Amino acid sequence: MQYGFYVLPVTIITAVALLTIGVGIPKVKATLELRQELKLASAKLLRLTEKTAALQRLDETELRTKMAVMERVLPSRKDVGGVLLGLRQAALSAGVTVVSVNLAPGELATGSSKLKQTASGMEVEVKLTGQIGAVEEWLRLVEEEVVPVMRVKALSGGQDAGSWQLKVNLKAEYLPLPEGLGAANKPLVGLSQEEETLYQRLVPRVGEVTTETDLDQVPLGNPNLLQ
Amino acid sequence: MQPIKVNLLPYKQRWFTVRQRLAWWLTTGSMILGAGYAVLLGSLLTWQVITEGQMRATLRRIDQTKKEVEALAGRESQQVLVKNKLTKAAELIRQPGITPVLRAVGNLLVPGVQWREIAVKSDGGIEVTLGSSDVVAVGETLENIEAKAGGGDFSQVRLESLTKANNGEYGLTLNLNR
Repeated sequence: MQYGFYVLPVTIITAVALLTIGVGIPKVKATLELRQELKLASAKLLRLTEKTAALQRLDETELRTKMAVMERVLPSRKDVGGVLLGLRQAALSAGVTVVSVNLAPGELATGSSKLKQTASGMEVEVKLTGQIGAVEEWLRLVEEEVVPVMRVKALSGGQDAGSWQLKVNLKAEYLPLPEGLGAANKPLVGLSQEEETLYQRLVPRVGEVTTETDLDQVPLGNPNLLQ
Repeated sequence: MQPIKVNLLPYKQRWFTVRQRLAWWLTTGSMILGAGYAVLLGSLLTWQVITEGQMRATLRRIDQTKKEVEALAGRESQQVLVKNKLTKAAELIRQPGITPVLRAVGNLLVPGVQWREIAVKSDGGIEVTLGSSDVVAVGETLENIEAKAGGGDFSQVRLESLTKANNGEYGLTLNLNR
């Protein structure tokens, strides 16, 4: 018992060392990792909260109107009717005669199948006749005034008996719907000033829009084609 | 010879006192260390428990906020669509229209030469086919292009081909870049 007073300190120091190795260090490591995860989770929560606030700030009516306007400007599908209407409207305003319109839209979007994201514009061939000034005005109207957005890709023809006869190859643009919205915590991107200005410029091009079309009320389908 | 007698008692007493003090310091010190370590370990465990609680609460709030975002997904999809369509529309509208191209091509021509076809290529270049039965007018048109700085409104003008058909008409194909 001469060295009995060493027992307690040695026991305590051994316990401290063992607890540090067995409990302390793993706990510190685990907690530090957890803090790191917590930091990431807090950042994610902040992004989600900001996104919720941004979504709540959006005016649903205004958004619906914007959607309707942009759907007319750049449809999500091959808007054959819209293209024909736009070409006719431009011809009436410019005073040219549309001799023929050829379209080969190909695959159409249906309720169960969407168009591919990579799909490019729909090709349209228009043959028209008119005075040069009227033809120029028609080309300007088609590219700058009517909807959906159309770009002239090729132009051929010539003058015959004072009147111009042209074959115009157009591309009627459309933008298929995206596959999805992506991750929920992806930040909501607002419209830039430039985009807002462009939207304001596009509104008169579309004219008055209604968010619900008359087509929604028209009964569709005929169960007996022989009738 | 008488043996020398040494009194060791004071040394023993001193050694005993030193040992006693050492024992006291070691015992007290190790007890303080043990208590301090216990407090530290307790704090560490509390810290972990608190962090786990915070993590659970944060995950709960993330789930809740995600549900709120999902409830507003309609607005989000509309906003995304409007944004995408505006971006694409801006890109399309930025492309030069055909009317200025017609005017610019018209500036290159001299009377007697007619344009037959104008095509906008995918890289933005313009291919123009001209026709004329008047060889002098064809020559003047080429001179006109060369005389204009940068070919008028174009940065680059390439004469791709010049052919003469059986009917005597000359055909020119120009590649123009703005």
